[in-house]
Amino acid sequence: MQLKHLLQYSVLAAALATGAAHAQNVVLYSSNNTETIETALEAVKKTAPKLNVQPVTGGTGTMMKRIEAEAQNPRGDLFWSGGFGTLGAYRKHLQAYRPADLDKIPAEFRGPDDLWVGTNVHVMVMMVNERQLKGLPAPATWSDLMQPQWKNKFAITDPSKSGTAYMLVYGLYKQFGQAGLDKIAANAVITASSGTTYKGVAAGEYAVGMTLEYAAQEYVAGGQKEIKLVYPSEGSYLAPEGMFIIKGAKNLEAAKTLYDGLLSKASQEAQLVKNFRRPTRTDVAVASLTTLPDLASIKIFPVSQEAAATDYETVVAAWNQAVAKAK
Amino acid sequence: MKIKWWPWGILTAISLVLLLFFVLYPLGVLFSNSITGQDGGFSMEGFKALLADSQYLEAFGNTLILGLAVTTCTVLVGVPFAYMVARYDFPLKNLVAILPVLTIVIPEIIVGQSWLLILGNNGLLTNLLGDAGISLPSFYGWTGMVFSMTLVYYTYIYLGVLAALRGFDGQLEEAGLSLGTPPLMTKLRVLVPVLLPAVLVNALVVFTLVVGNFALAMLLGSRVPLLSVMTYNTFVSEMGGSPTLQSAMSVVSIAIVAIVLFFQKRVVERKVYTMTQGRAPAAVRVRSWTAVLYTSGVGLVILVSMLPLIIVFIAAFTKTSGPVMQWGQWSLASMQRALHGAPEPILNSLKFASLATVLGVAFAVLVSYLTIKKRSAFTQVLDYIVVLPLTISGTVLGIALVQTFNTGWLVLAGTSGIMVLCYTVRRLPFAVRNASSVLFNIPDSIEEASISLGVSPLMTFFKVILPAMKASIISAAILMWLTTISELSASIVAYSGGLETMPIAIFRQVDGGRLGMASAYGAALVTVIVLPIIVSVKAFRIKLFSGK
Repeated sequence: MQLKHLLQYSVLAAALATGAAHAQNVVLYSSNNTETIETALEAVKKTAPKLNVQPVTGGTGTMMKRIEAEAQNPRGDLFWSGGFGTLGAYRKHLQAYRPADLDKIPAEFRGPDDLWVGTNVHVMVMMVNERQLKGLPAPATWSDLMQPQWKNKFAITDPSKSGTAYMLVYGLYKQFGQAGLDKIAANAVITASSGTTYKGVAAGEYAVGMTLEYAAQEYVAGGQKEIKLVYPSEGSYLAPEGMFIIKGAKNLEAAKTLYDGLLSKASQEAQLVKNFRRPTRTDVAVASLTTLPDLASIKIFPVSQEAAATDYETVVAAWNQAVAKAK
Repeated sequence: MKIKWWPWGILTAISLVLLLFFVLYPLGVLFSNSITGQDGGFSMEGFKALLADSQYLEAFGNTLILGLAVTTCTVLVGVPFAYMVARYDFPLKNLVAILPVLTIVIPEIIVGQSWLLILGNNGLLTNLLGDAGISLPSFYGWTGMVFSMTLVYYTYIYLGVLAALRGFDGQLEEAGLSLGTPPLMTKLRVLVPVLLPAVLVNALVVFTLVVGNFALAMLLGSRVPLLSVMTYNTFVSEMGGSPTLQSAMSVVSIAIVAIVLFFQKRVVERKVYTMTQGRAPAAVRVRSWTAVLYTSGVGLVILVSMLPLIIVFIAAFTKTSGPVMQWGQWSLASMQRALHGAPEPILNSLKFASLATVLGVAFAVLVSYLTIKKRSAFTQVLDYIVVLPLTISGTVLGIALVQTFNTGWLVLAGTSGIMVLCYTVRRLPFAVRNASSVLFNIPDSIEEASISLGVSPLMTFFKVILPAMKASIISAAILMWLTTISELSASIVAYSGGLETMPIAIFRQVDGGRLGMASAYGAALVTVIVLPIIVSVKAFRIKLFSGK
């Protein structure tokens, strides 16, 4: 009997050992779309062929809520990606990790205490649907949209619903103050997600959307001729997006491998070329790989990610006040 | 009243325990959150904040108006439609009678997107008419929502009324006629009171679906604040909101439906007529111009509700670059990519939906039998709890279940169990409504006869009641299977790695703006759902939706 048990256990152990050697499972929580995830995983697969990534996707908010709800028994290993302000708010669910390539990332795109790191950076632009302009000249600056003729013609995402939209409103607040927010809120159609804004412009619901460069560029690259990108001459705002390892991750080692993979040059280049996600790495040449301008050639109005996160309540309150006034 | 414990008392108790644990307990967690302040003590701050928020009050009003408008439209479409199919024979009838099922199958989000592709500001038809100088009203907002929701939900009225018409005793009408009442008057006096419960029951279902709908509301109603969208957005808010406020919002939407439910129950229960025979009159064959009229009338409704499906199949084979559709250029790329990634979501969908259907229908038959035929104070409680999931939107239900069963002795989160539970709980009220509507029509005397002949109550249930309910059990099962397999809002918050279903795969694509891929997944999903139904209807001659 004992021999039989011993035999059973050794067979079981052998099976487990070989299974582990063949596949390294890791559960990726992500708010990115399927194509972005596929692009990244293809690139990662080349350096880590044994990594078996199971993606679970949803909006950033949904995923963060899940991570919070599952804190006692985490089912995800790595989260990718969310705005820095969002990540900071969930700090207690993050596991610190220092990847090998960290020196390639500028300090402004890194999280504190190695808790997270930026994989890509968004640039805020005005996405214009020329077919819906109906005679109006396309806006050139953020202040153009504050003029009365733009009432109900453009969309902006509610900053309390989206991290990137918050960075946009934060930038507007820093640059134009409460008066600027009041004028924007008086004219804008406010959407509940950044996807609604750029998809709405593409579908012709709004003539202009204050939105993300990569999303707008996808429609340009796809051949939708009436879509144009305008980089406001007053300066654009940056919103880096980062990933982190979930505290208590069951597959910690695999999560680290994936973390390194998502940060690698190959992965960031693939993301740029296929999905127009601007890299955070300094060693990827944007303008030579795509039709997008280099970051250095875009006028940027500088905002501090950390200050933006700290001022969250104040700025959202300022925005809500502006919206209330607009009624 | 003295309660006899064997066998119905025991079964009532077991059902009650299950419902208390899987339905009431998670809802209790939600309710207690809504009155818990930030310091952890009792507080009404959530509700106070809602009352002070004008946008929230506006959304509240809009939701009620939308619910009433869509419900009215579905009744106006569904009732005449069912009447035509039940009472008349005309060319192509068999074909059109099975098609409404498809409106339940196509995920709402696909319906909305497809209509935007046709009637949106950049839509095919909008641009075509725009070039000809005709400008259509914007599809975003009330127009689009009422239009698309009516097309999605009229089927519930249609199927409910069709079932009632088939259970209707034609002799009543004949009696009326032979007594000299004019035909139209006879119909009004005899048919209306009998059909009214079916209409009301299903109108309530539609109303609650509209109140809880967020896929279409989010897609088309960004300019019209709605309760469901607001609650959903607060829940998924990226920056995290106050759980008190979220729960308070959920409680308000639960309250709306609970109130409607209460009134509807009273009306329906007073108006119920028991049919002793239930022999429906034969369908009348119509000819010449009447046949053309009926065929084209029904055909139009069908065509309009089928159009999203046609668009989905066209879009599935259309070339795409990124989010942009290249209409007129064909490609297999989306389909290939979808099929490459589809087997797991398809298998998951089939597995979860089938399990949930078996559990849900079995439970629903038992519960509706207990509540209708074995009334007691306990079954009254049962009756109220079982419809509770109707009052709660899918997202809220999903989160409540995940939070409740994430820790403790029963951990379901992250397993297939949570998906099956989401599906079962969410669709249970529908299954119960379905089973109940037939039970109302089965006279107590049949059962009493069996028992007085010496057959035990339990055996009577299996030998007499179940066979009498067979048709409605099958249709309840199919309906439940269809609606669970395209369920999205609850499962999307509950699923985790390896548990992805087809609607979730579709949602991910739509969310990313990839309509081509979404359509490819949609086409695969619809094929998986529709083929078995067509095959079973044809091969086993199940008269489910043919209305003959």
